[in-house]
Amino acid sequence: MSERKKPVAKAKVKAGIYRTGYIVAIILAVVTGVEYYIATHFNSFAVMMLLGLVKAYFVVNYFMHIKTLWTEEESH
Amino acid sequence: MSVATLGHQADHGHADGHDDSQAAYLERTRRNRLGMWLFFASEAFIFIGLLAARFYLWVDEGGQMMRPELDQVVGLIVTVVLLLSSYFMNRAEVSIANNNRRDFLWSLVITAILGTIFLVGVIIFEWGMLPFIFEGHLKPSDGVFGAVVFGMTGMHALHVLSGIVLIGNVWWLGRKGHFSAERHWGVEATAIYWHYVDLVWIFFYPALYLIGHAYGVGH
Repeated sequence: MSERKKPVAKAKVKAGIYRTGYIVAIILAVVTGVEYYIATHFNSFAVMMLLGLVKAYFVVNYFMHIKTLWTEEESH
Repeated sequence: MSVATLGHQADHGHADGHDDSQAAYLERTRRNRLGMWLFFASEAFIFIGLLAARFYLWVDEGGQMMRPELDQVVGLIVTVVLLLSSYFMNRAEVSIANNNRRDFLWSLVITAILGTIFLVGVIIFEWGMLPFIFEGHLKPSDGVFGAVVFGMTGMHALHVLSGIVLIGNVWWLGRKGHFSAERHWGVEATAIYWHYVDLVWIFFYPALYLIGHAYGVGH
């Protein structure tokens, strides 16, 4: 029984460590799609810059770990 | 000396007179991070200058923003490819931090391939450097449109190219057994550099392809 449980637990841990990356990548893809739609339908400079800032926030915060500059925590 | 090579030395605590304890390594890594972000800040001046040139120069007589008619499909594809490469770079960093060397090395390979696809997309389909495959839309001599498009994409492509070289360096060292869950500043430095390149494109993409009304230029 325990032998059956072990690989499942390992797989869960493995999926878990990549979860933040998946979620951020999906958010970036969705916002890029919205950006393209806004550009082709409304062409609003302000909205597109705002969407750019949203994407930049996710990249700087979750991929570049800017918080590690002023906190004790490590990047992972 | 490359960031990754410096990182490699730090990751292995070579005989350089430094205290090699984990605490000392973490302290050095914190300082390295600060240095890296100061480097990004200095680089930002170049990219902000290029963006300022774009918004200042690409304006019609009525004061409305305009842009050259570029291929939207190419723009969207290279953007998605670069975003995807950022995901795999993050995956490489997370993998080595969790001692998963196989995923680490494969993620680096995929990132480098995606970065190369981005470069090829720009060189062939945007610059038209191989006209027998695809005739480009613009030439550098096409006034403010050509100068700004080639200036922005050229400077960015140079950073993508150097990022691919860094990734190759980290992959090579990783293959030889360097880096560990506890010590991988070289990987982290390369990763944040690659994400910085992506960050720049987040603003360059709408500036070049989306903002303003399209104006037909080219050949």
